[in-house]
Amino acid sequence: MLKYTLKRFFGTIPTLFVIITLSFFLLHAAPGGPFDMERAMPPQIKANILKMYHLNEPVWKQYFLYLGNILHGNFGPSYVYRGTTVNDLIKQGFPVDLIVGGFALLGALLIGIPIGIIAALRQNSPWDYGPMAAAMLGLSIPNFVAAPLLILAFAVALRLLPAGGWAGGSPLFVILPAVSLGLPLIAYVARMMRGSMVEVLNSPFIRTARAKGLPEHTVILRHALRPALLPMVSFLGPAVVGVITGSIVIEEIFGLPGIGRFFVNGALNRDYTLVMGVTILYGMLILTFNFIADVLYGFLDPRTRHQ
Amino acid sequence: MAAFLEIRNLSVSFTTPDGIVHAVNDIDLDLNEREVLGVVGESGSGKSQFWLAVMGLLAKNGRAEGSVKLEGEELLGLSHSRLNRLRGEKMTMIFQDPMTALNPYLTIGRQMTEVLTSHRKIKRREAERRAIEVLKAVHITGAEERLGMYPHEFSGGMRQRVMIAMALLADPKVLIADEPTTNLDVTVQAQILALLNELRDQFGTAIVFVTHDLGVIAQIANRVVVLYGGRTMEQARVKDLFAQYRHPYTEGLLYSVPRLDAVRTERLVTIAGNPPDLARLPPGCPFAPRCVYVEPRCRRQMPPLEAVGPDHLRACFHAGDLGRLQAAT
Amino acid sequence: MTDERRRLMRRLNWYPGRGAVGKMETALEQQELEGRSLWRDAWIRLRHNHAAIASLIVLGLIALAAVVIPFFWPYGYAQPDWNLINHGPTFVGAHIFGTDALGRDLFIRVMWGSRISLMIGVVATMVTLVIGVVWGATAGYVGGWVDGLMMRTVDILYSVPFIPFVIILIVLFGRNLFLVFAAIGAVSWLDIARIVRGQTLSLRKKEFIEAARAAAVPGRIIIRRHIVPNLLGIVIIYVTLTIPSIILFEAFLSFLGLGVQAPMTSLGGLVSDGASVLQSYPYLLYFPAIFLAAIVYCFNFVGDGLRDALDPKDR
Repeated sequence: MLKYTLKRFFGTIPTLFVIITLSFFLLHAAPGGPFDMERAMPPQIKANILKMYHLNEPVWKQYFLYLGNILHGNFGPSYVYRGTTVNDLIKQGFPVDLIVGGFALLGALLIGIPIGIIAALRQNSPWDYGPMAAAMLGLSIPNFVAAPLLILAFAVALRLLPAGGWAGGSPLFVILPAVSLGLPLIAYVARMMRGSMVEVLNSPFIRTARAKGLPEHTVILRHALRPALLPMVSFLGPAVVGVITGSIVIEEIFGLPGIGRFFVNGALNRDYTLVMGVTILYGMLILTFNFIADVLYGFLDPRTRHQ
Repeated sequence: MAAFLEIRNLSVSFTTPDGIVHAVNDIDLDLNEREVLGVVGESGSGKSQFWLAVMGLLAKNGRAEGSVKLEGEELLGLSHSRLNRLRGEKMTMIFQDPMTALNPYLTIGRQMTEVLTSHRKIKRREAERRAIEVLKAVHITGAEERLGMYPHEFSGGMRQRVMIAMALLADPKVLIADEPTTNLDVTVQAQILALLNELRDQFGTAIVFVTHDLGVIAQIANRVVVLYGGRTMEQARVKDLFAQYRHPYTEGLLYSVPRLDAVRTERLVTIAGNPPDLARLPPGCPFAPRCVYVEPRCRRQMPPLEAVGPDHLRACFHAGDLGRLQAAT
Repeated sequence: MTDERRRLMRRLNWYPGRGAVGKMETALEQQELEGRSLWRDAWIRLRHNHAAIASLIVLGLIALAAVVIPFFWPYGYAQPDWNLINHGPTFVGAHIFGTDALGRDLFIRVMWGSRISLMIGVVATMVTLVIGVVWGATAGYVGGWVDGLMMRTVDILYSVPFIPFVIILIVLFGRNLFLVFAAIGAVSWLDIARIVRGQTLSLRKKEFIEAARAAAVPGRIIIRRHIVPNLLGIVIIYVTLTIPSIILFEAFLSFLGLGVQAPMTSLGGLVSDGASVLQSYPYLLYFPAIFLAAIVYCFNFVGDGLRDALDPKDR
């Protein structure tokens, strides 16, 4: 088990490296630079600025400089939000995403899993068709459609919740964004859980459990649940990716001060360091969750535990 | 003496998108205490579905009709909770592939003790003691340590032993074994068969042994019933079936087994044709399309099950001698 | 009795024999039940799935409309009608879905949008299919260190946050349609590569492949006759489930302002435009959203139905 864990852990390092390298060269390969959008600037000033940020040096040199900085935890200054460092921007914005994304993920699991289980237990009944059809609908509507609809319903019509803004993270402001973000996740989890549960319930060992005369609730809780939940663990990685992607949209719609907007705007304005910083952060998140999911899965499945 | 298990007119059908599949058609069967009943048939003969219906383990699209009485109590249509009380305690079933039949996520100990803890409110410690006893009875060494292990840590033969042990834990009156040795090596198979014989003496359980392998039947059964197309073709004591079979299908089964000591012939004897399509069964005897002794009335009418000797039944119209397949070898 | 069977039997020295048993056997061979191929079975099962069939019909209608209507509809997708700006659905001037802020007819824009979305979905899926299948099948079939290397690459790329990458790509290199396809394709092939590789690997080990090799069937025929048909099922399911996710992804890009360039538009573009004016002109969102949701919904149902039909284990 330990070997397995260590193997997984060290496996993530090359990936991180690839992410950093790929993004760096991709960004620098594109035409244009961070200061091209400026109003006409006297060329000497521009040259000085470029020199200050090492932007006049060959790309590979900048790359190693950047690597060096990163290893010290320094993501550099932002070119667009002058006066602030990328580290600060991330520190400000990330907690927002963490809260909204975290609740979305949690909610998705807490709601989606029971729905899926019930659908599987009552297969081909209204408890199955109804939620599954709704889930399908949830997956078919992009969250930038669902979000405005929710705003229309809860903020404008019912006036129960604010239509946007963050107010330092007070609960009311978290609800709608988290729900909008989590909706497609709930749908996916529910469908996946149902499929997995159905498959487990058709396994030979469930038939054995029934043949032993175990009461149905024991069969389900003790025998079926654990194997059925395993795919959820694997889903953790893709789930995080989904949350990240969704958060970009949600932030824009609800006007949340998260890091998603830094990403798009940064890319548009060639704010290299900012985009790199956010990309690396995203990458690390994904890698971390994938790692946790792998280890957890290995732990829960006795067959790998004994490897 | 009333039989311990009385089955009358049992029919099992499945609703599928391709139509209704009639897996078992109107079978009567008795099982006596402490006897070993062999149930022989090819794939698709209904031999497994029959016993799944008895245990109440049919798939969702399956339906069983008729009557199954266990010690006088009707099983079909029984409430789920009552059926669960009987399963595991009075009647148990073990299956073909022990790797998939055991839950890979629970320890052997857990899977065994839960039979006792849920049926008889026995404490875990006591249940473990009993589990160890039974594991020893099936010749598994190091039983105490084994309780904490997972199925994948056992070999195929050992897993099947564990399954048998698990089934015998609550002292059932009947153990239904659905092709338990089909997936095992021949040597292991021999061990398991010897084990079952031994256990039958030790525990006093009746055993139903479902298989397609006549050789196994010869080693272990007291009585045999031969199924085809969901119907009983022949039923007799083991010796009588082998020595004085009276049904063409039985003849086909017996003589299609190649013998090492036979004179080498040009080709193997087979039963010509294909197994029946259970969704489109013809009227009359299901074996008619493949029978060398077939008469016109065989295709129109199902021959009734009649006695042709003491404890010997068969369903066939053919009045004369059999033996053509024997001549062909 | 098929030719193949005859040949096989001759190989095994089987001839219709003498005696009663032999005659019976010959007669029976002639009545041989015709085998039902896997595809026929699957088609029958699919036919019973009413949701899937209904979805196919709806998809067909939408596709038909998207292709045919622009040819004879009086308005172009970029054509403003200055008399009727921001007008709700009306029969006046046959603006049955209404008009947008520039007076463009929404109906024709939805038709064009459907066309573009479907096109993007199909083409991008084909791209990922080609890359993914070739990659996965090669890794699975060749095996060994080649397999290891190829799949390790997939593993690494899998963890790369590809959506940021696509965004980077598009922002930096412009918004021509080709690049959009390429970007989407470049990041989506990983899934199908994994699936195809897994399937090829397990197929390669199956007994009937061994048997074919033992009978000296040449490699390319093994691939054509045994491996490809078995991959086909999975590939078809993947295609029907990927197209909608690509359409949604393009919608996402449109929302960020990175999708198809105006005045041309996709359903995603229409939806994101409509979402911003939801409160004032709801129809601008509702009509394209219905079409978008319908397309995605139907593809998913068909994909599910196909999955059930080709692999009915978990009905």
